[in-house]
Amino acid sequence: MEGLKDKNFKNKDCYQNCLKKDILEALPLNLRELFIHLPSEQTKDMEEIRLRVNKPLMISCRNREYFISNKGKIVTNLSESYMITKLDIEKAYQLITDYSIYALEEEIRSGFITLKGGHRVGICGTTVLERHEIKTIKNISGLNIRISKEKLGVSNKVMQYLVEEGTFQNTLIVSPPQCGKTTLLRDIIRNLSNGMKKPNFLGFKVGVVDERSEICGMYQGIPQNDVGIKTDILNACPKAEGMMMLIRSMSPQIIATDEIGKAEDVYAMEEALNAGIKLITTVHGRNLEEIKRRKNLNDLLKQGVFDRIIILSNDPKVGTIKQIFHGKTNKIITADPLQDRRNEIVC
Amino acid sequence: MFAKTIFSIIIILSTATIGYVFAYGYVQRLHQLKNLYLSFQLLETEIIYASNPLPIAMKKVGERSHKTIRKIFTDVYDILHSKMGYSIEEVWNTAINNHFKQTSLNMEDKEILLDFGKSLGFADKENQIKNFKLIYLQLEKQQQIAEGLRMKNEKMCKSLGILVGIGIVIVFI
Repeated sequence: MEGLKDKNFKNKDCYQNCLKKDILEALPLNLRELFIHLPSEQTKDMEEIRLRVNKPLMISCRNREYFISNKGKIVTNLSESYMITKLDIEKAYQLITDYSIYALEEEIRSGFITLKGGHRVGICGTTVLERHEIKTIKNISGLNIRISKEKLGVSNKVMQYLVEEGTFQNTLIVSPPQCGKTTLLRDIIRNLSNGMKKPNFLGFKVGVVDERSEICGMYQGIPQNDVGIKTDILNACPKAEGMMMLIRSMSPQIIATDEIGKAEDVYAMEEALNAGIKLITTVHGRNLEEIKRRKNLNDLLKQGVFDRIIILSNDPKVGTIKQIFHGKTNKIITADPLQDRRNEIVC
Repeated sequence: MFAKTIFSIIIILSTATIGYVFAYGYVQRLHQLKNLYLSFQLLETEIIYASNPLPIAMKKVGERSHKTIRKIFTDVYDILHSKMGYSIEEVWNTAINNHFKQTSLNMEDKEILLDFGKSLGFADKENQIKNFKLIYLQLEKQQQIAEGLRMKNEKMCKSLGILVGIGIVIVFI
């Protein structure tokens, strides 16, 4: 094997960068070489790496897409860019699955795999059906490596609005996709679990039902993101069942989930509320009106379940907190005051 | 006369040893095929029932395998664990090629082992089970052949060694 001599590979400076290490290990050798040569300004803001069969190697930074050349440079010219071969994809797929496709059948069925470090890889290919259900994906044609960026402290400024006199207020985060709602939720969970000096409260026991492994980024049973010291995680578990399991067995004070919407989710949330448990969850949408159009959610809002509603947007930057509502009275608690702190919240 | 006796004994002993060495090869091959069979059964348990990732499965199998074939599995683990970016087939082939010479296996056995690496890890459980079933069948067949060869040749090699020695003594001394 010609590459075994490359044992010093690991010692190269750029390889020690933790974020890049997990990502690089998911790529075959020839692609690693390309990424090692990329300047760090580009890799710092990298959001996605896209591999498609017989298509150019692309990365996306700050919502823009760039090609990468054979020499590992960012180029805009299609003819100079590196073309991904089928072999590249196959090798990358083996590395991403840690050579163990048999052990990741569930994940492959749902279309993504979580890497060490909490990064997620989306898979495209030909699905194999058995009795109208997806059994596995074969002939992998595209991989999308989404680089997870844990942003510790993004929720510090909002915590004062969510915790009142030492009790947590049921919270709903409303946001369009790609606006940082999971990032915000994760950091709120971390703060709730660890406790804070300002606003002053002790940590709560938080139960997380992480249906899509996005909140905690579980890899082989270990959460890759910091979600606090008093957090129990049910990974890859359906939300409704997961909430019931937590209520029965883990005695949480707060239950956190991502992206509710189904009728059974709402039912489970009502059960949790009846058991005296506080909730924090997120939902897709631009504003309150959009949410109200969805029947299940409208019922919850009418009952006044949520005490606080946070609206996120990506204007001017991803993760901007547009407004925080009082859920029962619809009174805006904060709108403008957070604007001048936007950058602090984002970074 | 005394020197002649000593020489005769030395000649007979050495040819007998050569005969035993040849016979030992046949016994060892059978032995190693049986051990390989056991190791693959361990690997199957690790993969199918414990759902362990392949590098960890290889490590565990290596620890529990017989020392003559252990290196194959531990080598695979070492290379996979270092995350150098090779495909499993490349790694498996390298490990087999590196350690093949230290075993008593023949080329046919080697082909079977190399063949096994082609779909190792790179398929769902159902196909992994099929792959294991195939290698069990092949190894069983090889075991039968090896057993036949051993029966036929072990005794022959041993007695031929002694007989050749006696022959040399009679003709030349």
